[in-house]
Parts: sequence; structure tokens; C-alpha cells
Amino acid sequence: MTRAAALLSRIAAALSGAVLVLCLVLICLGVFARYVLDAPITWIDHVAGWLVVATVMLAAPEAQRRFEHIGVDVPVRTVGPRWARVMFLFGVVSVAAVAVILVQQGWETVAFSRMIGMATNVEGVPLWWPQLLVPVGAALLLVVACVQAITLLRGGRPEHLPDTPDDTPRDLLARE
Amino acid sequence: MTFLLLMVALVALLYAGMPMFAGLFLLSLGVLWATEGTVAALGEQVFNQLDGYLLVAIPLFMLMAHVMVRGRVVDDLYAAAFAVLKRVRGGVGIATVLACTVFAAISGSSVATALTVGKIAIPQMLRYGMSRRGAFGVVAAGGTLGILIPPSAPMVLYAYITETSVSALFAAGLIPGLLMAAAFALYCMATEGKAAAPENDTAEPQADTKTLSRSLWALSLPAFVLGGIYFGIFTATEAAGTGTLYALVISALVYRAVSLRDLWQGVEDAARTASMLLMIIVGAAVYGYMLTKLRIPQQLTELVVAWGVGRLGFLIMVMVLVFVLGLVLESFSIILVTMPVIMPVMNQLAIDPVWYGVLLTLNLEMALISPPVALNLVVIKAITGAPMSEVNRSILPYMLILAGGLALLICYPGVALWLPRTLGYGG
Repeated sequence: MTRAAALLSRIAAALSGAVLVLCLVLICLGVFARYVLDAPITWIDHVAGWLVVATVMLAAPEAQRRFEHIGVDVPVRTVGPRWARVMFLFGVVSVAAVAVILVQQGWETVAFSRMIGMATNVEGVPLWWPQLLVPVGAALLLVVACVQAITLLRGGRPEHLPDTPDDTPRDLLARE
Repeated sequence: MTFLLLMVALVALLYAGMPMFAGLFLLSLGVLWATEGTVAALGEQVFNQLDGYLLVAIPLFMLMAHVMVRGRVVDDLYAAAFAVLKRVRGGVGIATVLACTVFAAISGSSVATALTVGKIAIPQMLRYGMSRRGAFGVVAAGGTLGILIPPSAPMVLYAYITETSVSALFAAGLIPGLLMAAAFALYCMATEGKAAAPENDTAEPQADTKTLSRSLWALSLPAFVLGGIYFGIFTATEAAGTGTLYALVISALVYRAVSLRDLWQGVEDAARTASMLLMIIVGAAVYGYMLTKLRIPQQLTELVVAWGVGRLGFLIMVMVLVFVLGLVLESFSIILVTMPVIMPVMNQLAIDPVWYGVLLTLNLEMALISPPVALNLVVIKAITGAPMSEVNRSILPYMLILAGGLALLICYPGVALWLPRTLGYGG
């Protein structure tokens, strides 16, 4: 179960990276088209926005798997291992709760947009396509958070669980 | 009062172990359910909040920073700064400030600046006889320049939330950022002027012509990004995209320190970094909705008007609140948590949002080096193994310098607003 969740999460993270590269290519292409070809591509602005939604939602499960989402990590460093475990469980369960709500609400939004046939500013793209990214990313986040919660409840140790009190934050660029 | 209670509840949830995005999301949802009984169109709100063209700049700036950090640019930057300044009084410390300033502009991250520059600069400063406190303090403080000197991710977020011109904000941050860097350098010169090269020194960073020319390439990156924005060639998002491409070219052709594998790792890391930061926006989408439903911004505006609080009084109160929040939260969260409430009052009191953006960023810089959530200090402790108490004490003079800078900017808004106005952003 843990391995399957990790695999899913890593595939999603790789996709998220690929989407970010695509976003970079599109933005540079937009500049090239405007200045060199003298033919601005208007749809790039809209698509780039959706690609950011994809980047964020698809990378969120991997950030969760690595316990990297931003929070206040001072208390967990100062309490004993038992309380730290309780706090990690609380955090993981809260992420799962958010994910459940996002899956349900995100899916409702998709269904509604689909039902009334809402379109985007980009020809041929219905709004529910990019909107689908929210429930899909949230579902993956839910899988990862549930596996972490079950591991913690069983007395196990989820992968990447922080343990050393003097650890520097793992992702420094996220901490301005 | 309701707002303060919400802040206390949020901090309590975070201290109990919730990540920021989950805390904001669940707290807001709980309040909405308790007061309204229902929450509508949550999925749409989350999607709309994330789907913004300006937000595209944040993951792209992150990618640019990851590429440059992996490109080992900082080694050359420090060697070049050191070669130029080593004969100056307090030069080893000033070189550190200079390297921090340039690397901050490239990475946009205070903590990454403190870590990457600190690893090279602290041993060098100690070898030159600088006091431990002096060496720790200058790196921790120099690192904070990352969010004030453009391009800066928190400024992009602030611009997005407040619908302010990001170009004006970037321009407004430049002079205060350079002033702070100059103040840090002067302090170093005054207190650590006796630091000098040890006899028979063979371990100092070597800066040959090649190193100097490579540093010029790194130096040209912020100039390329900011020049593109200021001369109206690019939007901020396009500047982030073309800046990243430029960083990739420099890393691959000039520094040749990044393999394809490294690059891909950088891409995945940047995507994750962006996700960590922007997931907070998911929580903020519900939080903003909850504030509107409870009419908290309107209540605060009415209160400020009823009490006859002037601009200065309001600014001082808000700056104190931001500083206190900065003791426990990081900058993205503070911007997202405070701005929806403060913005209407700012409009009422005719406070320039560009000016406030710079004040906020400078205040956040102080928060970055204020315990207990002082990540720059944690980084220095990790590099040096020094006791936390010693690292904490090292930062005190720099906190006072930053506070002085904040007071200066409050009294003389022109320090921040002159450049954006001169460039025609209206500021």
C-alpha cells in the first residue's frame, strides 16, 4: 500500500515537473511569437494559468509524502517523540480532511460546469477540463495522507518523517 | 476582535501540527459552517484563486532559483566580491553582504541565500578574525535581502492579492533593498574593521579572470529580468520565463556545473516548492470567503474610522501585528492572512499599496530573523553547529538596522516610491 501510494505520488510529481517545463516553453514561445514573429498568441496566458493549477495540485501529494508542506515546525521539535507522533498524525489527518472536501467540492464544480456546458476563452476547451485538476490532485493527496495516517496509527514510521530536531528546513526555497 | 481571535485559533492549529494550508482551510470552513450553516462553490473558488496569470511567475521564479542554486553560481560570486573588497576595511564582511545581495536577487529566497553564501563566507570571515557573532549576524541579515530585492516571490503574491502592479513593487523594493545592504556593510565596516588576512594565507577564494567573467554572467541575470520588466519588454510572468531560460543557458554553457539529471531534479523540486507555497492559496480561498461573509474587513474599516485612527497610527498597529505574526508564520501565509482584512482600510486611509508592500516586505525580513521561527538562524546553526543562543544574539544589531530602515520608510515614503514614480508606474 505504501509503495503504491509512493509510486502514484512520484508519477504525479514527475508530471507536475513536466507541466512546469511546458509552462516555461509556452511563456517563452509567447515572447518569441510577439517580438520575432509579430504574431501574439493570446491563448497562452489562459493555458499557463491552468498549467500552474496542474503544477500545484499534482506536486502537492509528493510534498505531503515528504512532510514538506509549510507549517510551524518549532513545537514538534521541542516535544518528546510520543507527542511529536500525535502532532504528525493530527497534521496528516487534517490534510486528509481537506483533500476529502476538495475532492467532493471539486467534483461538484466539474459536474456543474459540464452540465451547463461552460466554455473557456480558449476555443474548444470546456471549463471542466482544467477544473478537473483540483479533484484529481486532491484525490492523490488523500491517498498519500491516508497511507501516512494508517502507518502512524499502526505504530509504523512513514517515509520521510522528520526526526532530527536540528534539521534545517528541507526545501529552503519555499521558506523565503 | 473577531480577527484577532481567528489569528489565535489559527496559530493554535498550526502549533498542534497542521500544515498552513490545512489550518487556514479547515478553520475557515468550520467558522463558515458554524455561522452560515453551508458553504457553496468551494471547488470553483479554489480553482479561480489558483488560476491567475501573474501566479505563473512564482513557479517560474522558483525554477530559475533552483537552476542557479544548482549551478554553483555563489562560489564565483563570493570569490569575485572577495577579490574586489578584501583590501577594504571590513572587506571580508562587506564581500559577504555583496554576495548575499546579488544571490538574493537571483534566488529570491532569504533562507537559500543564508545557506549557500553562509557555507562559503562564514569559514572565510572567521579565518580573517571576524567575531563569531559578527560572521553569523551578517549572513543571517544578508540573507533577508532575498525578499526585498527584486525579483521576489512574496512581492508577486502581494501584487496578485492586492491587484497592485508587480513592476511598481519590484521597482519600489530596489532602493530600500540596496540601502539595507549598504547599512549592513557599513555596520560590518564599523564593528569588524580589524578583520584581516591571516599570515601565509593559502586558503582564500581564488578569483582569476575566468571567475570574474563568470560572475558577470550571474550578475547579468537580475539585470536581464528587471531590465526586461522596467523597459516594458516583458510582463513579470514573461520575465520569470525568459529569466529561467537565461539561467538554464548560463548554467549549461558558462558554469557547466549542472547535468541533465540535476536539471530535472531542479524542475521537480521547483514544482514541489511552488506547490507548497501555492497550496496556502487553496486555504486562503476559503479564508477570504469566510472574512467576506463575516464582514470582518468592513467591521475593521468602520472601527478605524470611528476611532479616528490616522494613517500613521494604523500603519504602526499593522506593522506590530505583522511582526508578531512573523514570529510564528512565514511570509506567504502572513500576506494571505492579513491582506484581505487590511486592504479595505488601506483604501479608506489612502495608503499607497506599493509603499505598504515594501513596508510589509521589510517587516517580514525582520520576522525572518526573529526567533522562534527564524529560519535564517536555524540555517546558520546547522552550518556552524554554534549554540542557538549565540546565533540569536548575533542578529540583534541587524534587527535594529532593519527597524531603523522600516522607520525611515514610514517617515519618508519617497525612498520607496521615487523609483516606481520615475519609471512611470504611478506608485
